[in-house]
Amino acid sequence: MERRHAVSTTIVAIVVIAVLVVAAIAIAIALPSFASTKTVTIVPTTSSSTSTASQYKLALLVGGDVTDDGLNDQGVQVANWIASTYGWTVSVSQDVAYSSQGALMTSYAQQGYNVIWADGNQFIGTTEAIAAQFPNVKFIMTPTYDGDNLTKNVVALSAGNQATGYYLAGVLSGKMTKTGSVGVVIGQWFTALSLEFYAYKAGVHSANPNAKVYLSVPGTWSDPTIGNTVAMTMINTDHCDILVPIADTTGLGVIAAATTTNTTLIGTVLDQVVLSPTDMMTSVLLNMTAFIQPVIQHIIAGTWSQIGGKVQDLNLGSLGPFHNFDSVIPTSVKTLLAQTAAQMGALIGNGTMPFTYTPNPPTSP
Amino acid sequence: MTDYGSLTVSILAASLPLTMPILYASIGEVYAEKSGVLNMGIEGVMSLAAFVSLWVTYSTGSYFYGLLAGIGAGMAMGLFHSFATVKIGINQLIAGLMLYSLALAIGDFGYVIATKKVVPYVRPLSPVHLPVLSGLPVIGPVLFKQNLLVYLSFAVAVIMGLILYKTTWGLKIRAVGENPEAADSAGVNVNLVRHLCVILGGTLAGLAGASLVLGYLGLYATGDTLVAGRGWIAIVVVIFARWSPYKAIAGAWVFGLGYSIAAVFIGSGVFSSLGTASGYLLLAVPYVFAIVFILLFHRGTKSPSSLTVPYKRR
Amino acid sequence: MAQLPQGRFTSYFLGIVASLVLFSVILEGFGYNPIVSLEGLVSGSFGTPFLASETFFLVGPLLLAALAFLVPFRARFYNIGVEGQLYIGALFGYLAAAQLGGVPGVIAIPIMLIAAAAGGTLWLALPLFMRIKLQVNELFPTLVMNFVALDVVNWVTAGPLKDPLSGNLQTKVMPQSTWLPALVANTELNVGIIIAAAAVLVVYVILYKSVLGYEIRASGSSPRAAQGGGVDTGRSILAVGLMSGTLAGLAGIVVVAGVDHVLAQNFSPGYGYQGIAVAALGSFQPFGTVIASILYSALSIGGESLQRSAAAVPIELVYALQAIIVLSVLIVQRWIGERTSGRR
Repeated sequence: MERRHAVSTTIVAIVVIAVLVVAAIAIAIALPSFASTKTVTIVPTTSSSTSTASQYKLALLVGGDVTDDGLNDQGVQVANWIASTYGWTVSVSQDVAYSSQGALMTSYAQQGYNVIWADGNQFIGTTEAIAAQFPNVKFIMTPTYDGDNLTKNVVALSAGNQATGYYLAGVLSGKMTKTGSVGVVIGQWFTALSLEFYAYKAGVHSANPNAKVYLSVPGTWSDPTIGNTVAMTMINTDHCDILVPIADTTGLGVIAAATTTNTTLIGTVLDQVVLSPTDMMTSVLLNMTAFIQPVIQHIIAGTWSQIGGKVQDLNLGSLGPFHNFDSVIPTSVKTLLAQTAAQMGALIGNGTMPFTYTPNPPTSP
Repeated sequence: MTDYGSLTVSILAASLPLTMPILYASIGEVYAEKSGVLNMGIEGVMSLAAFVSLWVTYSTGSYFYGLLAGIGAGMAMGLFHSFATVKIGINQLIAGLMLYSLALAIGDFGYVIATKKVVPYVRPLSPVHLPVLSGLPVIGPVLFKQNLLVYLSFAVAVIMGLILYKTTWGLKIRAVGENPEAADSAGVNVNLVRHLCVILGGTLAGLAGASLVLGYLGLYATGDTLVAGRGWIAIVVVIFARWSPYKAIAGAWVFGLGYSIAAVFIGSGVFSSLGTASGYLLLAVPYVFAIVFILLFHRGTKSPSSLTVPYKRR
Repeated sequence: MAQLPQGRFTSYFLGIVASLVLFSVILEGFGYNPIVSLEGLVSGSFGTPFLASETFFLVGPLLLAALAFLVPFRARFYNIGVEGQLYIGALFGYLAAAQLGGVPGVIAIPIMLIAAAAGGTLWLALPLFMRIKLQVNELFPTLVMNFVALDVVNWVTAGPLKDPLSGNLQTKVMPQSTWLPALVANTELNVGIIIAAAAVLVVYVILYKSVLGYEIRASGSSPRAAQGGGVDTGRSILAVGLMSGTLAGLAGIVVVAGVDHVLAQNFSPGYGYQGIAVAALGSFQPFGTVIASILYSALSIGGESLQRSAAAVPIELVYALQAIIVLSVLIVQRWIGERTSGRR
């Protein structure tokens, strides 16, 4: 009995060691790609203090991080672009928790940062409050703002700035859907986001009046599992063959579901084709630089008063490249998209492209 | 007009991949606890293993290496936990909770470093349509169109149940957990058995984490939003299932199904007239069910007698 | 046995040193400078008055959560449901505060605190009942109720109590009279830390200077001997349960009324679980926990500063350090204790 005990122990020990060794080898193979970079999130100023641009310090707050290949990633990219183009000192804070927002902004303000950019709708309330406490610090609020509580040191981007892009995406979806059902997944329903949804829906119906636009609001931006399950439901039960995730990390679950079922996707904010090379038809781009650059230039020129305290109403949405779908989308559809884009002003004017807000999501497609 | 039939199939089909990681992890924890050691850290271990398996699969292109790496990471964490609790003998509850924080932090750290260059995604394993069975009405698409890792989880549960109840190894494990002194007198190396069971627990937790990535979502998210409480649920399932691997199948499925119902209803908008917030209450249902169940059946729920008590040879 | 026994100081200290050494090795391995990083942690938590205020502000909820775990731990009742209890405590406190609009703070705040304590205790009531009357191990119900609590608060803040004017999932702002007064203007440091300090004293007095405390500690160290000596372990558990729920509820309301001034989703970044680490780091002694909570808080705040600084050390490494410190201290203490005492 002792010997059998010893033999079985030995066997187990061998298996354990073998697995650990193979695992270690596998990790070691993967390790070179780690190659510890010393990428810092601050871009230091050039040491010359005679350059006027380097007296500017900008802080960026995002609620997620660069891994979302979306809004948060874009914010970081634009912030780094500011640093390299204008020589500003830039500090980026990612994954800012709700409870840390106020302290973080205060901390930046007290450290002498002249500009604080809060990129994400969850910062709105805190930004309004902190901006009131620090009138000498300038604040930037993106991506959408639908309030009326801006102090003179804040500039914001209006809600619906991607609406035109979503309308076009809707036209494309209406034309390309084979099942007649498309779906939108929004992390949480903000009144400000409803513009994008209704624009998309209007676009779909302008191209395909009988199509159904399903909507799902999981209630969180950070749960990929629920995104996945919700998407699977829309695919299997509602027969959606095009999905539009506007849901950050939750949206990643939606994308995973779509990829495993070969459902078409439309991305948001950035060209998100890398998230699903085979199934991402296009993305609704948000031209954040078109908003930020004039703001930066106003700051440098000292003409902030022209934009301070105001909500900038811009149309920053457009359709990104079609990548693998380029040959799939008929020329007639591409022409239609180009024409629609050209007529956008008229469509907005005659109400075809609606600017509808609702505080609660619609209950039926 | 909601198609309730198709909705039901959706719910059932979605419940299985949701059950898979819970089941793997709970089987591992059953073994650890049956031998007398509590491991509260499997949530963190799953997260770390998820990251490791994602990264290795992404970098090497091999799902096999990725799976093995994830399992290995879990095994290493199990080894650490058994060292701290069986060898050194610190408080098992605290050790497990600290392991949760530590493993989670390591995984997140790895992801932060890795994503400075590129954001890794892998395509989850495709479903395997079992030849004749998947054509069956209703149960076909639900049971027989899942991927390998899902099927494997049920197989593992059954096999581990057989081992626990039908082999001498299993007998020793149960003896060690119920009465370590008697087992010691009978010639069983109590602490060795415990070491092995805890390592096994970690290994299966590693498999659970890898299955989340390779068999379900194909991605990683920091801040414990990927495992999202399924490791804790696995610990709950162990008690719910009265430390039986077979019952753990049912227990894990209760939670997989509960989540699936809530998520599918949210996704189909069936309850949206009750307000979008009602989804949160739906998510609470499986937990309430678990508490009610234990309230009703507490008499049959007795943990292994030596659970959390370190053993020292006299 | 009121303070840490002599011999354990050395092993405790050794544990801290060991963890710092390990941390430095890891930093070096990934290309970060250990000296710069450690110095960054210190200056990032105490370097400026504002940062110091942040560090001490965080001590409030951490210390209360740690006490909430520590007290029942001494009676061998393992309340890992502090996170859920602090959420429900915050909910009850908010509900009370919302009704106390015109009432002056001197009256409103105590009422709010009592409501929060009641909420936390209520959430522990079921696990308490299950342990005392049904002999069901409390680990399971307390853990499960954490999830239920989160879902309830998520529902409330997204549904019935949601502020229609705010973009966020949170309630309307609490009446100003119920805001915990700030101790230093323009910082987050508020009365919450005073509440926590008072709680430490109360816990100390009860645990070490009262008959109840004696019974609690006796139930914890050897339940059968205690029962043989006439101690009602059930009563001890009830007592620690009431204290624990109260402390947890206070931890929740201190965050909500002290800083946020609204009840928002996910307002706690895991204070309930961090409190367990702090209690362990404090060797489950009230005053030791004070020091541990300052250290733990300094690491959290310092870690955030370090991540934003030029060194850009990812904060996850600091989270790992927090876990490593606790494990290191426990392991070293136990290992040395075994070897020197020769006790089996």
